[in-house]
Amino acid sequence: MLFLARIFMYLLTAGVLYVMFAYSQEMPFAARIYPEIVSIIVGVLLIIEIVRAVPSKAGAQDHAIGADIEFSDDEKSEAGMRKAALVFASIFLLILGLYLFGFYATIPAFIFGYMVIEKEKPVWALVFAAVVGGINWYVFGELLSLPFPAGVLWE
Amino acid sequence: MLVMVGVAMVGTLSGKAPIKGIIVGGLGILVSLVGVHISTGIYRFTFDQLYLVDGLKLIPVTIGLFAIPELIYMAVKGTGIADVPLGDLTKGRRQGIRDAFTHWWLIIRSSLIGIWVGIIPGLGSSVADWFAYGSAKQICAGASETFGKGDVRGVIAVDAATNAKEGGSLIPTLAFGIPGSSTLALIFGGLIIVGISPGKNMLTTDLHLTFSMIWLLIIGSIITSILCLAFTRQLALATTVRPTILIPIVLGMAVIGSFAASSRFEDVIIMAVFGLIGYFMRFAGWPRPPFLLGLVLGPIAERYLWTSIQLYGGEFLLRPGVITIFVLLVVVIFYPAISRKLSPVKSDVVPG
Repeated sequence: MLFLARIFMYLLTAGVLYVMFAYSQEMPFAARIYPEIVSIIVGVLLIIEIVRAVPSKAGAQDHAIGADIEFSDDEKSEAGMRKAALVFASIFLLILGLYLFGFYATIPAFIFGYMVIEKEKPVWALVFAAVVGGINWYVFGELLSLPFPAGVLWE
Repeated sequence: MLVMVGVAMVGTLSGKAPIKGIIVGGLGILVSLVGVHISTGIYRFTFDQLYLVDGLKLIPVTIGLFAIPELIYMAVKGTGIADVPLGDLTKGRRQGIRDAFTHWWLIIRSSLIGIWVGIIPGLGSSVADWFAYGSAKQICAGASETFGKGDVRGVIAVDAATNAKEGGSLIPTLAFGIPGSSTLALIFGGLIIVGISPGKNMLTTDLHLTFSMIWLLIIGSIITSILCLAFTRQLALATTVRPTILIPIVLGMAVIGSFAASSRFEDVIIMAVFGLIGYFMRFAGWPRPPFLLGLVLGPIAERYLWTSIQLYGGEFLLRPGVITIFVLLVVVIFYPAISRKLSPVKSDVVPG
């Protein structure tokens, strides 16, 4: 999986560089020079990084990411990845819910559903869902007048 | 040039993989270029999407890159943010105060960095944070082994710079009438509404107002410190909340925060996409902070580049200030590698 994650990052970077470089060719000089320069520099560094990582095991040893939080062993395990997939699935469902039912209904429902699935007491799940839903409605909706979309099903 | 130093500094903070750090910083710069190009007015990399005309917003990208992977980490770990008992907080409070006095020189140095970053309009707190952290990591003894693993000096450096940056950004706002940040732009607007025009007058006829603002900053910091000390236990208890409660609530707040950035639903999707990217970045050992810094600094670097070219042409590269900063850039990039080579102790050597 680590190998796949690295490949994903290399491909993602290469893709962004290609798109930026290719699209900038159609622009006037003033608009294209900066992205071109940055793309070329990053491209050269990417090639160096790939060359360093592929033949030796330097890539594997470079996992100490210093300023960032390192990926833990728990996360690398199969159970960890399954959990990560579940969190991403829940985010997807949350966004789908926001799109269909709007913010006011989806966020409390999501909190309630998540907590119940994770075996929290339904009463507490209901309390937390109601409190967050109330804050969302009063603070963000009423006081700050955020124009939350109603959801396509209610429109 | 200064912007490049910032990105390079964060890149070199990336442990044994500075190249990855600089690549990620470069990616951040490239992504920041999405939207309208200021000099020519043309749309760059918008792919005919109305949403992209304003560029990618910092808030959803930040929430996605940092909050989502941390929530996953918390879900996998199955414990609260703090997985150790709170312990004796009174002792901890005393230790914290003592640490601040012990590392007084680090505080002064980081504060100077914060003030310097604050004076330059447009560079946000994140720049001050990483500059101070990078400087502390390169200068403090043994920092390369202990930073990121609970060394309080990392926290002191960042906090000192963040707080000092606010004071520093008051200088261009009040003295020259150039708001140093978006917050100060609001204060700037407020001052104009009540009939005070920031600029030379703030240092002459309206000097008392300037001192009022300085005192307000000092008093505000003292009140915040007292409140934090008084409610340490309550604040610390928040770190023991179970992830099954914390995750859905934080996710709910994250989508609201992302949406609030520009009241567009697409921001929520951007948050999720960058959440996935952030997860893979952590998995592959690619540092995330340089991306953020590139995203913030990219447009500023381009704007100053064109200003320099319009003023001096290509010869701006030969100006003493630029050459000095270029030397600094080279030092920032190569210092960690050289110091590692010269260091007699190899941290990754296992004894026996």
